[in-house]
Amino acid sequence: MTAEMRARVLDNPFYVLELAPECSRAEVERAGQKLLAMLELDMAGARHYPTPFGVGRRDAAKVREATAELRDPQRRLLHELWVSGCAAIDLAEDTSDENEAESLGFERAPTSLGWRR
Amino acid sequence: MAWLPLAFATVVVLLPTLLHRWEHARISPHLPRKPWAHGVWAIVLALISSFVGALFVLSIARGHVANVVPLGLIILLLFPWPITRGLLIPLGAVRAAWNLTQLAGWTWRGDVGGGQFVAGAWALLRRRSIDPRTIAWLAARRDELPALEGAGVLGSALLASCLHDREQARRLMRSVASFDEDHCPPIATFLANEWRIADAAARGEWAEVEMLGRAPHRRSRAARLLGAIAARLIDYPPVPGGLHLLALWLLAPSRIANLTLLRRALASPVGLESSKPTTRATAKPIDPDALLATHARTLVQPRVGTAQVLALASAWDRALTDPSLRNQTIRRSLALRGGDPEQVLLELGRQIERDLAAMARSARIPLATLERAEAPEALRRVARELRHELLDELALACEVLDRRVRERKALPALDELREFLAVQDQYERVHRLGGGELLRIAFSQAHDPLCNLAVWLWDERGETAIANAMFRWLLNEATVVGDEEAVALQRRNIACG
Repeated sequence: MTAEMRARVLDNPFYVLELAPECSRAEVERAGQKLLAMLELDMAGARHYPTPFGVGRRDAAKVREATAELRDPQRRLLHELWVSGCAAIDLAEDTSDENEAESLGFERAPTSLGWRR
Repeated sequence: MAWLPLAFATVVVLLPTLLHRWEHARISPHLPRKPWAHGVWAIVLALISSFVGALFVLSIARGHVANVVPLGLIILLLFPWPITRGLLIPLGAVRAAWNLTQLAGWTWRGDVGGGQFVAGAWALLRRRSIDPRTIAWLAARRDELPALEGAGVLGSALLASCLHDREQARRLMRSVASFDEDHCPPIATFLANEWRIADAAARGEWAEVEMLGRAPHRRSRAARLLGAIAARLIDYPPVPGGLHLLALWLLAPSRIANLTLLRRALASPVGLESSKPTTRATAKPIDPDALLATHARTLVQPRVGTAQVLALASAWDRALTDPSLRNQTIRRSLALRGGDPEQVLLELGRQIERDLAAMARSARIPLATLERAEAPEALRRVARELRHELLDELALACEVLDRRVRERKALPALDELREFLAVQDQYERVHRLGGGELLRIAFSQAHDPLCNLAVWLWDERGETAIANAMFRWLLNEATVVGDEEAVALQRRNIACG
């Protein structure tokens, strides 16, 4: 998948600010301010955030952008849809595993045929 | 007088060897440069060397241990390629492999320079760490070749593999099969095929492994094993049985390395297709949250399967018209006291469509599958976009190439071949995804620019080997699309040599 798509999933403003989809506008502002201050002080844990797909990397620009996105109700609604959906991530687990198993390669083939050590 | 047989033998061995080398350098007054002459001369040399070698063996048996040294030289002369392949290449001795292959004129059918380059590049590939100076040295040896032929292209592919440029290596290896026998020794075709089997198996492209590993040309024992295992894994008839696989495994080298793959193949049941469900359960009601989760998970996956994209598109087709998603969005919009739910759903639909288009591209789903009557509407829109994209990309690549050829902006022979292969790759992508209908349009776009390039290389640049390979590929494609005029033209071009 393209980097833009991965970023759209991993850099959802709710993940960046570590907020629940039902949070209030005041909570958004508070989380934004708090994270900017933590980044300024270079505090432990400020540089990374958890997502259902792995750990994301946080910086001040990303926090400002996330706060701006959640201030706009129209944009927020769209991000909410994705985040609330990803709470049911277990369902997606099965299909991906199945797909990986189907496309499993034999990495030692070049060694077996004498092309690599 | 013990030195007399030694001196005699040395002269008898050295003289033919030097003449053999001169013949390769085209300065021999003794033989014309013809393939049969190479063969006859190599046989004569082998007979003389064998006779002298036998004399040395007898001499050593009588106690003249010093004759071990000239006997070693005789063995080097008699078996240069087996020694290079079995000893120097596995040791990663680049220069030694390059030097000894000078004597392997028989194996490389006279293209000794190309063979030396292949031996050096292969030895480099076997090293633990790759030294940039050695790569530069080998590239300089390649540039000294009088003309780029099949062996030179094979060596260039191995060098690209050393540089971890797998895509380029793959393209060059595939092109080796297009060279005719006059410009490509059989061993180059064989080695290119073996490399492609190993590469396809490493990527998990089992259909390709099956096709190459079970084709009726020369294959190694390991390639035969991989071909049979691939057939078993993808359930392609005739599916080999357990005993057959076991016998092939016992015959092939690297048994321990292959054991895990053999176990996997034996564990895969025969006749799997009939037991596979053809569709996923579609009757279940759509849960928008679960669908969004599946979609997001698919986006972060490295590879996506055709069935997965089709199932996802079908689910989205229903979910975007489903009232529950709309109701959920309206509820949240009211809670936030802002935002137009219709606009949000429209934006979501656009995002989904972009994602599905990227997934369809990444999963290389044929347009015919996307355009089927029962396919979701979203995928049919994606198919329309993809059709234009495929043809536009090919047209652009052809236009750039054509302009350069008209302006006579020459590139090194290998780069000319790379440009050709890039367009060929694009063309084959159109074929793979678009099928026969798009292929005819693609051929009409690609034929003239590629033919002009090949003619320029043949007429003005003296690169007859790669030009001939290009003509052969064009002839093959012209036959596939049924363009009689192009078939006749390419037949005439190939007849030029």
